[in-house]
Formats: sequence, structure tokens, C-alpha cells
Amino acid sequence: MARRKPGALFPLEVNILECGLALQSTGEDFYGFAMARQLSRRDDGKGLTAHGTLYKALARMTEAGLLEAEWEDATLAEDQGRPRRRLYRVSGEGEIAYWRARAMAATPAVALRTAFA
Amino acid sequence: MSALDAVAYRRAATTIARWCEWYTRDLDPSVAKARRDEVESDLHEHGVYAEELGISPNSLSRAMLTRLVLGAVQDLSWRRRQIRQAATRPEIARNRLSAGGLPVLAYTLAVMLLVWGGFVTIRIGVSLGRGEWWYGSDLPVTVLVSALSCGLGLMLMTRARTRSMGALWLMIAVYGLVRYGGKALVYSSATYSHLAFTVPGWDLGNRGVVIGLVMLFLAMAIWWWPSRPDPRLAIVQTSSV
Repeated sequence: MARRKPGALFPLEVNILECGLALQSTGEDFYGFAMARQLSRRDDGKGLTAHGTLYKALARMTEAGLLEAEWEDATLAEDQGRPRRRLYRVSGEGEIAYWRARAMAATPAVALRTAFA
Repeated sequence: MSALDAVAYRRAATTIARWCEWYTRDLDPSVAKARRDEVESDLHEHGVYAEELGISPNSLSRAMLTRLVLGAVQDLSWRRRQIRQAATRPEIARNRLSAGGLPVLAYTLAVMLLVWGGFVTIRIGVSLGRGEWWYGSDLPVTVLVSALSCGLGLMLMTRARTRSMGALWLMIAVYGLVRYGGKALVYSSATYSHLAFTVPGWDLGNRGVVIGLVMLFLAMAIWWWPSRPDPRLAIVQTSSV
């Protein structure tokens, strides 16, 4: 299993944060399957993320404080005739981590170019 | 007919729900329930999504099962993490021993003992066949019975419910095969008898092996002894569901 440096994010986690922020910005609900669908769209219709991969990542990110999670009101779900969703929200810490990861992803390319200049 | 009502969808959903039930077993009830509810919601949303796109129930079922298979290792890894988070340090050490080291050692030694029993039995059989065995039938019978006990013990050890009993059977096999098997080889193998009479402390070593193996299999029998479910735990689990 891949090990990571403290504070670093896995590519899937960066993608989840990016898609989560996108869902939040359009006012859509951010829950497990919505995230799987969004990730699939982002990857040009590549299959939906596996249950284990997705929910393990969401649980890990919630524990790390990158996401906030709460269960939807059961009555609302019942009224719509479906199981209740676990709704997520990218936290302030998650947003900072996302932008930091983006910045870090951009840095090595510059360093590499400098090294070979 | 709705995709959610199709047999293929329901079968796939049941399979995934069962898998989820399996890997969340014995976890903290609230954590287990949260994961099951989340997966249940996902399965429903997947069905609705497939219906909106006009995906056939068979394709939907395949996609769902693919998601299950591709994420199975992560599910198990998540489960392991939950168990580790809930366990105290001594529990982690104990689980590591009970899940890995000691049982592997016990099974390996049991197989080695069976191989040894087979070897001694064949060796005695060859001596008997050649007419070179003049020491009565006690030793061959003891070795044969011990080898059979060893095989039976090993078979019992392959099932969780009977492995404690298997370890007890192996204690008998150890004594018969190592102690009497050794004696039988003194009469039927020139190499063994040479070693037994020339290597200092051979007999002491033989006794040491017997005591060590008997202690190990006794410890495993106690370790594996089936415990009654704690009634208090059952009450907690029932009330939290």
C-alpha cells in the first residue's frame, strides 16, 4: 500500500476535494454516489469509483478534518422513497489542503525544468 | 419494469450488502451501521442513475459487482484500520500472535509431524517387508496410531470450531511419533541408531522436543478453545441496532 508524507494528499483525495468544491459551488448535494458520478465525469466517463476505494477515502478524509459529514434528515429521505444520504462538505482545512496540493503539484515541474536547464 | 425492481439489480445489491455485512462484522456497531447505510444509499442511487441513463439491469448489475470487486481490498484495509483503532496495544499484540505467528507455527509443525509419522511408518513397513523387524508389534502399532492421530488432528485443526480439539489430538501424536517413532528408527535405521548412540544428549533433545511440542499444542488448544458468546455483548448489539 502506498505510503505518504505527512500532510500530503493522495491523487484520489485531491480529486475528491476538487469535485466536492465543484458540487458545493453549484449547490448540489455532496454524498458518496454523487462523488462517484462526478469523479467518473471528470475522468471522461471512466467507470464509477469502487465502493471500498471511495468510502475508505471519504472516511479517512473526514477523520483528518478535510471533510465534514452529517446524515441527511431521515424524514426527507423517506418522503423521497430512498435511503438517507450521508452528506459531506469540504471543510476550510480541506480547501486549504486542496490549494496546497495544487501548488505542490505545480512546483516539481518548475524544479525539473530548472534542473535540466 | 424499473431497474430497481429487476432481478439482476436486486441480486447484485444483495451480494454487495452481504459482503458489507461480512466485512463490518464485530466492528463498533455505530461504525458498522454507518458504512452499511452509506453503501445501501449508494446502491439505490446507482440504480436510479442507471434508470435515468437507460442502462440495462444486466449492465447495471455488472457495474455494481465490478465496483465491489475493485474495492474489496480497500474494504478489508478499512476494516483492519477500524479494528486497530478500537484495540488497545496489548490487544493488537495478542491479535497479531493469534492471527499470524503462533497458528502458522502450529500448522507448520503439525504438517512436519505428519510427514515424520509417514516416514517412520514407511521405514517400519520396509523393515517388516524385508523380515528385518524382530521387536514385536507394540512399536509399529503405536507409531501407526500416532500417525493417524496426527492426520486427524491436522484435519480437525482446519476448521475453526474443532481446531482446539485438533491441537489436543496432536499432543498425543507428538508423544507417539517423536518418542516411540525415534525408538522404532533405532531398530530400523542405521543412520538414526548411529546418531542416537553417538551424539551426546540425543535422548535429552528428543525429550525436549516432545515437551516443547506438547506445550505448544496445549497452549494452542487453550487459545482456540471455543468461548461462549458474552450475553452482555449480545444485549448491547441488539439494543444498538
